Amino acid sequence: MSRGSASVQGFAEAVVGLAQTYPNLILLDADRAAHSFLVPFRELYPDRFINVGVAEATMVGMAAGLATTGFIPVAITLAAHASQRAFPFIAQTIAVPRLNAKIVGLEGSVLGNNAGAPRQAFFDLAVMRVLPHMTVVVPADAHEAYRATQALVAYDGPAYLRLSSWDVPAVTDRSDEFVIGRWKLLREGSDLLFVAAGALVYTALESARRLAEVGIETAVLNASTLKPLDEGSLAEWACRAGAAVTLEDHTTVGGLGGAVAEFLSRECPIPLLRLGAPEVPETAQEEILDPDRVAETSREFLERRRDKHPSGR
Amino acid sequence: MSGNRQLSAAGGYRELEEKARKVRQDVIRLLLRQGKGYVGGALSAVDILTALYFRVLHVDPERPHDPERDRFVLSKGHAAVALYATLAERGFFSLEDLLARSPEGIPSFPDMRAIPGIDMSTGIPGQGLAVAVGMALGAKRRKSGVRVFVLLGDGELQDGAVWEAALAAGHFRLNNLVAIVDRNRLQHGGDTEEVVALEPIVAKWESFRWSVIPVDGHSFEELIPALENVGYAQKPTLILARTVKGKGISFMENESRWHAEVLTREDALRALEELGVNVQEIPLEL
Repeated sequence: MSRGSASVQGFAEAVVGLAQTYPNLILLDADRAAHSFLVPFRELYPDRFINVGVAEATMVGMAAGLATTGFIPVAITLAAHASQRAFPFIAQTIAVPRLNAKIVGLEGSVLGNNAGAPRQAFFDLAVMRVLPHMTVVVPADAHEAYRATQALVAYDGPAYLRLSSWDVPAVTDRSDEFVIGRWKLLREGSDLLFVAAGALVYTALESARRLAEVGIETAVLNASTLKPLDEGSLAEWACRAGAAVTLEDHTTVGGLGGAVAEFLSRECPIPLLRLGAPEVPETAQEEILDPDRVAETSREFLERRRDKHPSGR
Repeated sequence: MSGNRQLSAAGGYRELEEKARKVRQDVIRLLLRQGKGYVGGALSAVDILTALYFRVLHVDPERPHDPERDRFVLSKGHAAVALYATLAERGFFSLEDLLARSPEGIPSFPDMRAIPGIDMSTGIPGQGLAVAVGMALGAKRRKSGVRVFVLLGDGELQDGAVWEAALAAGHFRLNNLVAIVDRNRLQHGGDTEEVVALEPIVAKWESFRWSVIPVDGHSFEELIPALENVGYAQKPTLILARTVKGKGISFMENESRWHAEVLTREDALRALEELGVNVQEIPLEL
C-alpha cells in the first residue's frame, strides 16, 4: 500500500480537471492559497480563484451570491474555521435556501494536527450534519476524495466536504465509483461491524484483520457520506453482526457515531461502541489510530456484551 | 439634467408617491394578517423599495429568474412585508393570494423558496451584504451588466459581518454594487447613537473605499439619481438614506416601540385611514 494518500490531494487534483468540464466552477479561498495544493488551480484559472482574505464568513456569503448568479462556488477554509467562524453563514445563506455551493473544510481531523483544541476541527461534522439540505462527505483517502469532489460538483445542492492532510495508505481505488449517500462494504463479517469514516477507514480494516486472527469476523463499512446516511447498508450489516463499533477522527458526540446511534436505535437496536475523540481531543490519537488498540477495545466490548447476555444474541 | 427631464421626472414622482402609498397600505394589511411583524422599519424602507422596483431595477415580473436581471437583497430582512407589498404591486404575484394564506404562510423574513421575486433569503442580521458582494463579483467575472442592490438597516451596522463584507466590496472595486442604509436612527432598544453609536457613518464607509451619497430617503428626487449612480467610479456606492421610522403613519413616526410592536385591529384601521383607505370597506376578518 502506498503512502501519500491524504484526501486533500485528491480534491486538489479533481478541481483542476473539473474546471474544464464546468466553466462556471469558481474557487473561493480564505487565504489558504499558500497551501501548495491550490497553486496549480490558481495558476491555470486565475479568473476563477478568489482569495477573500481572512474573512471566512464573508467568503461563504459571497459563495451564496455566486451560486444565485449561475456559478458553482467551492469555498475553501480550515474545517475549524468553517464550523466555528463561518457556520451562521453556511446555515442561513447556503443550507436553508438550498443553494448550490460547496464548503470544503481542510485539516478536518484530530490526526496529525498538533494545533491543540483551540484550533482543531473535532466537532465540524456534528454541526454540519444538523443543517437542512446539507450533504456531508468525508473521503477515506485521496482516491475517494477525487471521486467525491467530482460527484459533489455534479450534484446540485449544498455540501460540506471534510478533507484531511493526514497521510493514509489508500483503501479505495481511483476507478471506484462514488455515489453520494452510498457506503461501500470493504470487508464482510458476521460477528461485529466497523463503521468508519475518513482516515480511520484504514485503521478499521487493519483492526478487522487482527480480530480475524482471534476468530472475530468483522465487517467494515466505509461511511464516506455522513449525510444522508446509507441506511440500507447500515441496517443490513448491523443486524447481521449484532454489534457495531464506529470509528471517526471527530468527537463521538454528534458525528458519525451519533448519526449511526440515532438510526440504529430505531431500526436495529444493537450494542454500539463509539470510538473517536473525547470532547477535548488531546489524547485521542493512539486510541483511535492504532489498529491493535482498536482491535483490543472492540474485543473487550464484545466480551462484556457476552457477559451481560450469555445466551448470545 | 435637462429641464424637460426634470419636468417629466417630477410628474413621475407623483405617480411613485401614489405607488408608495399603496405599498404602505399593503404593509399594514400584511402585518395585520401575520399578527406580528416589524412595522416601523418596513414603513421607513417603502420609498426606497418603490424607487428601486418602479424606476431603477431592471427586472421583469414575467421572467423572475432572468439571469440578466438586476438583483436586490433585503439584508434588513425584518422589513420583509415591505418587500412583499412592493413585489406584489410590481406584479410578481397577487397580494390577495398572499393575504389568503395562513399567517404562518407569510414568512416574517424573506424566503426565496416561498415568495416569488425574492433574490435571496435573509433572516440573520449582517449577512446580506456579503451575499450581494458575491452577486456583484459574479456579474463582474461574467462581464455581465447585472447590478446589485442591497438594503441594510442602520442598527444592522453594529454587526461586524457588515464591515467584513464592506472591506471586500471596496477591495474588489465593485462599482456594480449599491448598498443603501435605511438610516431611521431607531433600533429595537432606542436611538442607535445611544445603543452603540454609528456615526460618523459617511467617513467610515469612505475609509472602506466606498462612494457615499447621503440622501433624504423619502424623496424620489434625491433617491433615484443616487440609486442610478452605478458603474462610474471604481468603487461600490453607499447611499445613506435618512428616513423616518414608521413613515406615513402619524402615531408611528419616530417611535422606537413600533420597531416590533404588534398591530391591533384598531391600530391598523387608524393607519389605513391615514393612508386614504375607506375603512368601512375593510372586511371584518382582516
